[in-house]
Amino acid sequence: MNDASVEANGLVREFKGDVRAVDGVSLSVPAGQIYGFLGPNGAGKSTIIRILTTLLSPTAGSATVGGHDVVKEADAVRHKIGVALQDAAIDPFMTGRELLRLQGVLHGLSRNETRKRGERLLERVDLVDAADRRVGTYSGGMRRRLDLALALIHEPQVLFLDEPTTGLDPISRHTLWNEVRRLNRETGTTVFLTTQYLEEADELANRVAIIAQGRIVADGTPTDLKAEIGQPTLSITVSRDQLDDARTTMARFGAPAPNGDSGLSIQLPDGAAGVAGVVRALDEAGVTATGLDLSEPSLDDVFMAKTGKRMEADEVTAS
Amino acid sequence: MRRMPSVFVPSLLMPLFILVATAGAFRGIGALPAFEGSSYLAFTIPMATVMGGGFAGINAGMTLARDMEGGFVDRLVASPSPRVALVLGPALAAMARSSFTTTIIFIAGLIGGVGLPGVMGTLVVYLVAAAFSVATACWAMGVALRTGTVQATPLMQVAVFVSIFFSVAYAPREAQDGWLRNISDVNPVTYLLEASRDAELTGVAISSLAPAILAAAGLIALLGAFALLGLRRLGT
Repeated sequence: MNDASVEANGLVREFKGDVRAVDGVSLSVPAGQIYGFLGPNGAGKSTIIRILTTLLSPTAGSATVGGHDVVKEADAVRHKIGVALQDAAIDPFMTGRELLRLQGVLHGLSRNETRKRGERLLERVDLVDAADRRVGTYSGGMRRRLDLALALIHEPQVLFLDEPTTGLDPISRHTLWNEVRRLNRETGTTVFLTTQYLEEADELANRVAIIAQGRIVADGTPTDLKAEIGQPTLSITVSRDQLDDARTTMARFGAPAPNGDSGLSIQLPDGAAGVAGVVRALDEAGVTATGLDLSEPSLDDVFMAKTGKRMEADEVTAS
Repeated sequence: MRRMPSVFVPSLLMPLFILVATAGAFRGIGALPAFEGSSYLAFTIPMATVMGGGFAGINAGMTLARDMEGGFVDRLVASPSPRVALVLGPALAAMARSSFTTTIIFIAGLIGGVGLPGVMGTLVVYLVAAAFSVATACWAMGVALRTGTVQATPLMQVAVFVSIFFSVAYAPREAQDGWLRNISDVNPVTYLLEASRDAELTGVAISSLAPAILAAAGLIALLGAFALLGLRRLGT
């Protein structure tokens, strides 16, 4: 046994054709934390979650969940985990209530206990009215909420959520986030979630690991990771005929980078306090800024700094 | 049935259709000496019930493949319930489906003027079909576990149909000759059908029941191992 809820050491997973989907991943998630695993499609997130949930054997390395080895003590691990995999793998021909009953049976709960917990969970995820409808008639958000309820029926110590909000509309996404936060707050359940949405990792996770090409390239709290990148970015928009004057002026404060047709961005070494100086200098140079935006570093900036490229546009848009 | 009616209904109708079509088209050959005066409808009933068992088994494999494709199997595998239930459950369900189809075939026989073959005879017909359903379920699930796709359905089906058609499905061994007879002699399904046919036509006979028990046990052991080895491949 150890104190970490989830721990991995040098995990490797290879597939046929010399594909190394996971390449030496080590991580440690203390109990009670919401841990976000952020990366683009194909980065290895789902492979890692499948290893940690005993669905896939690692080629090398080891991992424990709830203090049990995922290979040697797979049964003990399965007793401690709740899993909601990508695409909400639930039988469309069964009703929500039937699936909760099945999930209770699979986890060895008594009929009475399953019924009580099932009703409580249906209320919690707001599916009481739809509980006797076939899941095939549910919306994407309803399926995800049911999937969450199914993963919680046996009150797991560790909850694994594989891209829980992919394909959901913004309202459903926020509803699910709130539910995950509430669960973590009220029951202390450790949550290990993978996501390709920067906003989701930023909003939800206490700690984030950024994964690219099967390797963790950064690990820390969102605030610390962004602080590592450091300086906020000041972006200004000017008329095109003043662009050169603006560039010359801003060069006194850093290295201006083009930002669209008539915009420039600059990282401020002194943080937000440096804005006034730049604006004053532009004013003195006769440059009129028609737009001004100060942005803190994002996790995308962290990803960029660590991998040399941005996550795909369709993977960073959270709403 | 509720989960995949598009699979279950044809699997019920096909044996019934083949029973009616075969018994109607070949009614006259029942007069051949090898048929010993029995009606061809009665002769065909065991083939239809065994085929019903085969369809029930294929159904189990298709459902498993669909659940693997859809990720539902992951939910089951990630739970603490024993993995062997993934194979045992559908095999038992196949037996139940097979028994349902056998009942329908018996009813069709009654409508066609063929009475039930007594308690023991009826039981043997049910059990033979059920045993075949378990064997074919193991085969089909073994294929599903190795391929993980419904696209493997034709592979599940072809072995079952070939095993039935190259047996004594349409004519007794006495009426067969050459390569067909040679295949029939070594085909385990022949012995299942002969036991079921004896039970249906003349009464349960140990001389045909004993080889059928051996054939069923061998098929289930072999194909059960095939399925269980497939189960071990999950997640590797």
